[in-house]
Parts: sequence; structure tokens; C-alpha cells
Amino acid sequence: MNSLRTRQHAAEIALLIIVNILIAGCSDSTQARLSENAKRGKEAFIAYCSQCHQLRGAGGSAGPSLAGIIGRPAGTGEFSYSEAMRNSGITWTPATLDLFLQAPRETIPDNQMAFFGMEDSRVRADLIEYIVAASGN
Amino acid sequence: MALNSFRDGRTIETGSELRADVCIVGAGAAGITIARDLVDSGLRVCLLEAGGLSIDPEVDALSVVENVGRPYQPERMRLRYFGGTTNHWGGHCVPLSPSDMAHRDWISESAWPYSFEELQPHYEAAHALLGIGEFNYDPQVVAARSGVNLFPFSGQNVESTVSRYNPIRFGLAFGPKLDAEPNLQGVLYADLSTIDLKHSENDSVAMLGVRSVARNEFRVKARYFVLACGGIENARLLLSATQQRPAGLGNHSDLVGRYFMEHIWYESGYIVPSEPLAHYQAYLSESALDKGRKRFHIALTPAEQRRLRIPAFRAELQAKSETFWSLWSIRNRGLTIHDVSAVAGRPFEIGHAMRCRGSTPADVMVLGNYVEQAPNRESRVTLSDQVDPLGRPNARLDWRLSHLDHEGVVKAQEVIAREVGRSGLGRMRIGIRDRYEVELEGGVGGAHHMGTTRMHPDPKLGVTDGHGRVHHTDNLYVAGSSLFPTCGYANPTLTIVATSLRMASHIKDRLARDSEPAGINSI
Repeated sequence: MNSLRTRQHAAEIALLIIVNILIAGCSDSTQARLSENAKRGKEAFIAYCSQCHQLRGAGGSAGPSLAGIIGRPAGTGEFSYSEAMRNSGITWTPATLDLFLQAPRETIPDNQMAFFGMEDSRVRADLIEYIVAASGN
Repeated sequence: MALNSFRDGRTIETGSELRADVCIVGAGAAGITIARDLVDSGLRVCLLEAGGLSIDPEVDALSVVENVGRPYQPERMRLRYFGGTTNHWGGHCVPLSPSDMAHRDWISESAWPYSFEELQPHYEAAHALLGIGEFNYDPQVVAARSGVNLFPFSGQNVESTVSRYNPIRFGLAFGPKLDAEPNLQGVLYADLSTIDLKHSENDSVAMLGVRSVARNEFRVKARYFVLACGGIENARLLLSATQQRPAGLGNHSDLVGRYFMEHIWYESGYIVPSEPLAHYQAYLSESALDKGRKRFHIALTPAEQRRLRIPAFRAELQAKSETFWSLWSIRNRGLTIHDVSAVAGRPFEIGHAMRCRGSTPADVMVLGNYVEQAPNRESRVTLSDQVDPLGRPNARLDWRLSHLDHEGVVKAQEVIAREVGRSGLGRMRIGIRDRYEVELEGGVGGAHHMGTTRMHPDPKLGVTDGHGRVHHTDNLYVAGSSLFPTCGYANPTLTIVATSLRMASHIKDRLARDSEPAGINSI
């Protein structure tokens, strides 16, 4: 019985080490050098988005992580999305993000995101360029 | 939106003087609520706002917060423009409970100076203002109306709660009407510079000195003054008003800035329900109610808080995948054998989840706790050694939690886990340790800044009295969540609006009784 427990213990430790190594390699990719537009977009992200969203790693309480957002269907990801978001049929691309960020509540009625829209198309373009660059695609 | 009658503080000639019955500093949830209420009664109001109509880095540079305590990012939480932080508000409305406001002998420095019953009429008025339907937070009633499946809890120790949601930007919603009011003078880009006391035996504010990024200066004279700039800024303004009171205004008992409280967000475990997740969707996301939305949460009953001697506890439920949450807790909480077993049993899911895109299907309900922090004297806002571009010291924030805050979450998990099993809801995995070095390590704040000018009838124990009037002053008030002696788990906006309506009512009463200019005690 002892040797069985020892083998189990050793196997669990080996598994711990492997899982830890794999997870450590999972996130934090080095950030590409940002264009001038994307640098302005980063300022906008900090001002308007960062209260609720991260661009890598796991999400928090108020909003989903945007890691890998480009190309992802809306409402799929580690977050308690509203039904409206999950059923929207949208896949996130720079074009659909632009529509959404201009008027979130009109684009996807009844969605939960606490943001009212960004009117300036240049700010939106810079912000989206930053999101594309920094969300790990 | 354009505010055509509002003046631009940057263009007001140095030496100018504005006059009003009441001057309100800060156009956020509190300031706009009070301004609306006072002009409806025909009073002359001057409403000062440090910012303009949108984010402006030059304005933000006048209020940078130095963070020296728990990891925290104040710059993400404050919005210094017309409407304040309602400009990124999620619309979450829920009142304090009567027990939150009562004396709790296991929470030191608890007790509001008035009861829930006294605040209730103002909560009801706040409901009308916010457009969130009737003042009813009985989860059974709301669930029955909407055909919602509630958790089968007994309600003796753990209960369901319901919150109402209607995110409105106070600036956009109420700005046009304020703009049209002849009795209201709004001034944008107006940053409070000095609070000037009359040279008399009473501490009576004679006027405010106001500055702007254009480096001009002008004055506002009024009979009553209200600071409504948020929980960090209200403290900063009082602490830096040292020209005539070297310790700062209202700081006679070294309490301004102390008792800074946040709501702590901390994910502590998950429930695996017997029913499919969709059966309990009403807990997992917002759904329609009246003209707004609703969402259900779970909380410890006041009786159970009393029995366990812990602060108020509420958890939001979030749909997540067990694999992903286990991976996350391995990475962020340290390895546990249970987590590894949960992960090891699903090799293909690991591969999928590893790509950090997280589109593994949700199969559990993670408890995202949004809990009350016990009042903590050492958690505080002070003044930084750094000064802003116009020479005023910045605020310095040292946010602290106590052992009671951590133990409250640990004890609550155990109670919830037992009730989850007993009621047949499912089973629960607890993901918080009772041995720790840092309280609720990794826990983040909800962007609620409370307690820094706490109310207490005794000037030795509070900065403000039960109406928000700064002790030892005749006519200076503070509004907003900095007044809160305790904070419950309730998101503060509804209570900010209710207490602001209560203050507006009080100020109207005082002005009606005054037959002489402010400065003579008329209470």
C-alpha cells in the first residue's frame, strides 16, 4: 500500500510540474512594437476599456478578457455573457468592432456592456488597431 | 450634447465673482442629483465641474492618485468630466439592508446616524429618478413575476438577492434640463482651489476660490457649499484646505481620509449544479425587468452574518468552465492537488483551454464575491508629497483589508457549500485558503470609493454629521459615498442618490428657515 501511495504521489508531483510549465508558457507573449496609431489606441484603451477588460490572460468580474478576440464569435469565452451577446451571430473583426464600439447598445440590443459608444471614428480606429496588436493574435 | 448656458472656467476673467444660494462642487451622481433637486425649488445653484464634456488629459493631470497600499489602479476608476463616473457605470442598483445601517457589535465603527426606515422615502424617490421601477427587492416577488428559477435555499442562512440595472449617464440624462434652468449656473473646467472661511468665531465658508488649467482664478460666493467630488477627491480637498486650518478642514479628529472602503471582488470557488446551467440563467446574466434589467445573486442573511460575526457577504454567479477556472486558480492561487486532479482528468480540454481563448463550454457557476470591507482606520487617503501642475498636493491612497475581511469570505464559503449540498442545488468546490499572508490576495476593488468623510453625530468620531455637514462648520457639506460609515455589499450609486436627495431636502429646509445670511447658526 505504501509503495502505491508513493507512486501516486510521485505521479501527482510530476503532473504538477508539467502542468505548471505548460501554463507558464501560456500567456504573456512579448508585445510587438506599436505603430503611432496603436499607441494612441492604447491611451484610449486605458481611458475607456481597462476598467473592465484585459487584453491577455483571464478576465475579471466586470468584463471578459479580450485575449484572442479577433476572429472569435461574440459571447464565447470565459465570461457570463448576456443572451443577447451569445446569440448575436457576430464574429469580431476590425469592421464589426468598429460598428459595435460606435453604438454598442444599438448594435447588440440588451447586451450588458456598460459602455455607451465612441463617436470619433479616428479614436475608434486607433483603439481597434491597438486591440488587434495587443490581444495576442 | 451641448451645454450652452454653462460657462467655460478657463475663460472666466481672473478676479470674477459668481454668486448663488448653493454652490455644488462636482457634477457626478451626487452633485447632479442635488443640483436637480434644488433648482426645482427655485433656488439659485452654481454647479462647478473640474472637467469638460469628455476625458481630457490636462484635467486628469490635476488629480493623479499615488497608490501605496494594496495593488490598485485609481486612474481606471475615476472620470473627471461632466457626469463623473456615471459615464462608465454598469447601472447596478440595490439598497443597503437595514442591518448594514444598524449597529453591529462585531463590526467596530459600524452604525449610520439614521436608520434604513429614515432613508427609505429617499430610496423610493431615487428609484423614480433612475427609472428602475418600484422599490421592491424581494427576490421571491420578482422571480414569480418573471418565471425565474431560484436556488432552492431555505433562506435561513443563505438567500437569493435581486439587483436592478439601468445604466444612465447622469450628464447626458440630466444635463439638458440643467442647461435650460435659468436658476442654475454651470461652470465646466472649474477646479476647486481654496475654501475660504469667514474671519469669525464660527467656521463658516465665505467663498470658494476656483482655478482652471488656464491658470486663471475666480470666486464663488454662496450660503451653502457642497463637495461632491468622489471618495478620494473629497478627502483630498479637505486635507489640502490648510490655509486657515493647518490640519485640513473637518480634520479636527484626524478622520478625514480614514476608513477608505472598497467592495472587494474575489473569486472563491464554484458550484456544480444538478440542473443544467441554463436553468439558473437569471443568476448568470442580466435579463429584462420593467424598463431596466435584473439579475439574481446570493448572500448570507443578516442573521447568519451576526452568527458568524462577519461583514456583509454577497456573491455573483458567473458561468465558467471548470477546466479553465481550475487552470486559472492553479496559476493565480498556487497549486492544489484538487485543482490538478480536476485538470488531469481532461487532457483534451486542457489543450483547448491552454490556448487561452477560453471557448470551452461553461459548466459551473463560479462565486464572484463582492463583499463588504469592515471599516478600517488604517485604510486611508492622505496627501502625497507630489503636487499637481497647479501646486496642490495629490492624493495618496493606502487601501488595506483586515483579517476579518478574509475570514468572512472563508466562513461564508463553508456555509454556502453546506447549503448547496443540503438543498440539492448541487455540489461546491471551495477555492480559498484559511491560511494566508495577504488578506484576499489578488482581490480587486469594484471602483467604489467610500468612507473617507464618514458620518457620525459626535465630532470626535466622524467628519460629518447625519446630514453630511462637516463638523465645526456651519455651511459646508460633503455628498457622496465618502459619507458612508459602512458600505454593506450594495453597489453605492443608489445609496448615493438617496442620501443626496436627503441632503437636498435638508438644505432646502435650512434655507427656508434662514432669515439672515449664512454664517449665523440657524439649526
